[in-house]
Amino acid sequence: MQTPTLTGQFTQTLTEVDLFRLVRAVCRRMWLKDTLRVTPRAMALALVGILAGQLLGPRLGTVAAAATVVGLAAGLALLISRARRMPGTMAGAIQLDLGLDLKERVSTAIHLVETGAGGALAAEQIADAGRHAWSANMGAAYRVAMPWRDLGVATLLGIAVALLAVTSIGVSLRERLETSSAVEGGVASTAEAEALSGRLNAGQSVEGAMAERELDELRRALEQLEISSNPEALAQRAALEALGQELRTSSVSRDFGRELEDGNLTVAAAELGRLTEAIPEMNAGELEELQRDLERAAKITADDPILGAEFSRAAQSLDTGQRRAAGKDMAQAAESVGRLAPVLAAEEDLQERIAALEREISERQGAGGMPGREPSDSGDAAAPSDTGDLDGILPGVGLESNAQGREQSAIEMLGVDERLDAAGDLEIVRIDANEEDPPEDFAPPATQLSGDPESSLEPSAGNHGYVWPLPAIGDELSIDAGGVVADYFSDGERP
Amino acid sequence: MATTTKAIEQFQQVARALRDAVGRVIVGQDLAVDHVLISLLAGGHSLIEGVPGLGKTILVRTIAGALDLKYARVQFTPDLMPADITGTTIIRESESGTRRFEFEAGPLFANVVLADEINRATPKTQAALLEAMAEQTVTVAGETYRLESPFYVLATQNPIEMEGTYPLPEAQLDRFLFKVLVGYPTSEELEEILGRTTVGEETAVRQVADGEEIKGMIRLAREVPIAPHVTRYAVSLTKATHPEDADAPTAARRFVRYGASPRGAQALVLAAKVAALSDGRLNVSYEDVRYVMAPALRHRLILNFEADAEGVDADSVLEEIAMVTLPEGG
Repeated sequence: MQTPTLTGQFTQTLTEVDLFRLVRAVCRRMWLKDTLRVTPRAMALALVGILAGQLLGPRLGTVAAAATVVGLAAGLALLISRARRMPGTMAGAIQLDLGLDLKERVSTAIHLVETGAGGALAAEQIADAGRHAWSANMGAAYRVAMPWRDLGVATLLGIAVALLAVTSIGVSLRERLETSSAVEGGVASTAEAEALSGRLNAGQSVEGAMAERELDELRRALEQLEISSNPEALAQRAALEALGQELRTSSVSRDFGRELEDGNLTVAAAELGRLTEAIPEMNAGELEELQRDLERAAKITADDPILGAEFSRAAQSLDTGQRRAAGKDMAQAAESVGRLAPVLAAEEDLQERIAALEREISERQGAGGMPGREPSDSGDAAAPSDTGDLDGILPGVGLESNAQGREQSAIEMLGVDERLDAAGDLEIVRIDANEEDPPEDFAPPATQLSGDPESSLEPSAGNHGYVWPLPAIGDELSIDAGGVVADYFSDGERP
Repeated sequence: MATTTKAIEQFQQVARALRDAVGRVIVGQDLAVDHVLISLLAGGHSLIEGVPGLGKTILVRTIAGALDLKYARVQFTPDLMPADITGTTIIRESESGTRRFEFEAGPLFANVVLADEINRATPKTQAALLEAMAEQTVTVAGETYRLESPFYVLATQNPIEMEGTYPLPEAQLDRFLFKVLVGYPTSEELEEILGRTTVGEETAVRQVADGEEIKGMIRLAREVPIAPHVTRYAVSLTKATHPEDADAPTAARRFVRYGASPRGAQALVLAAKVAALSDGRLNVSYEDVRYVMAPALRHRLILNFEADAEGVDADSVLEEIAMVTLPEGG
């Protein structure tokens, strides 16, 4: 549109409609800029929530989920609240004036149009604003600058979240948090957490730390299996195999012996049962041979108080001609053999798992070069040396060190009539003094702290006292350790 | 529309011609001249302050000479009485011998009154100007007389010689739309002044507008539209002069005892409208408001003792206010 200026010249101008269109375009740019400015902040809020969720995850599941949800909701709310706010026409007009240095021409014109103001100058002013806004360059009118700094912060946060989610750093961090959580819960020792933290801080590779941690977990599992292991069952199995070899040559009991040697205890029990049922039909020679077999069986399984006794009783019964009693004892022995079948099978499985674990540990130690338990010289990973059990393991790592720490602290807190038994459980002891024969060379009682279960943990009162555990056993004896011992356990001065 | 366009054109032509006419006599002092003309076209009175010899009186006389208006000059002295400026009732005898009271109008009954060295008159005489300046009326012996429109009081005062002077009371100061400061000319300007005033005769002033034209210009100026956000800016500036205002800058809080009155805000907007129109715009901008801020508000700020002790004047306080108070979108 062309209109005359104040000086009578014609020039290009915008109509009111065009003017409003121009202002609305500025409004849209303002909205875009505001939304762009808020977007990184909204992203940052959401990412902080996710980050918090990831970090808290291992420790506080619900709180972590809440943090994530709150972060996402806050970010979304911020974005939506901003996106819903479109700048008003007047705000756009003011920005247009400022951007193009129109000296408030457009905003005044918009005001005049919106209010329907008449006046002598209103129409002239609107036309003047249109003329000046004709060549408006939107870029100059309102520059939409990208909020690079905020975007940078949001990007960094995004990278951090992604790293935590998919990389080993995140795994390590979470594990570290888990470890610290476990420490607080009393499961792992503080020394272990500090050692791990120290190693991480010292710049060891994350993979190394992870490998070491897995190794420790394997060691703990191995120890648990070893604790669950039943050495007596192994001895029983060996005895039964030996018995089987013995009986393979017997004409009467060879089937039973074969099954025993092959380890088929259920079948062996059945064979023993059939042998028992066949006793009434046996002739004298067969009975005599059976008696010899039973005696050998009793001898070989003498360490087993049940089976050995049953075989022994059966042999004696046959020797005295009591076939019925012998059959009864043999039937009981068959039942005992049958009961041993699942026990020994479980123990075999346990031993296999122990062996597998020890092989695994051995391989990992060999591959990673990590400090830890050395394989035994014989190459049998399942047979660690007595000292190697503790010496080869990192200080403070695992249950050994933890158990030791607890024991020591417990000992420090023991009362005068308390001690720890071989299993580390608290035991009440009572010491009676022998006042009639006071000793000359008194030595204070000492509690043995060694972890060697073979060693006696009997508390000592030197050469002049005697202690026994409570609850008292029937054959409890009264020991007189003399007045010196009485003085020692009193609050008075020691001799 | 065509009439409006013609009126706008005429306004700008007259404003330009006035500037040119004054510029032929007054060397330099562009800002002061511009402010006085803005005040004139806004229909307001001006207080012109400057040391003696800077051309204050000549400036007023030149402006009066450029306008085809009745001009009166009153030299204010301590013995000047109110009746000397307002006029008085005298007994006049007719040829037939009858006597009657007749009002003899004073110098106030002019369009342009130069109150030279206004602060030398007593407060009583100064106060005689109040009614004339505010209501364009003069009351003598119970009779109120209307002054001719347009009516301007262009007063001058000397800021240095305080001996034997009576500083204008705040109420009086508030009646002046502008307080214009006339500064010392530069070397070049002084050289030009010497060249003009020491050779030949004085330059004659050409009349460029009469009273009706000036009144039409005043009416037109008042019609200039102003956007609400610009009005809010003027209000913010005025409020920022109040030390108790939340948005007042540190300088206002420290040095101002009383801020500008609502008349100050009126002066801002009215003068900004004239400034916009003089600049060829039909709307008021932030820049116009800032341009007239100092002359419109400086005499309305009452500074405290601390300002006096530290030599802080109203202009420096206003400068900080203008710097701190940002307009919408700015």
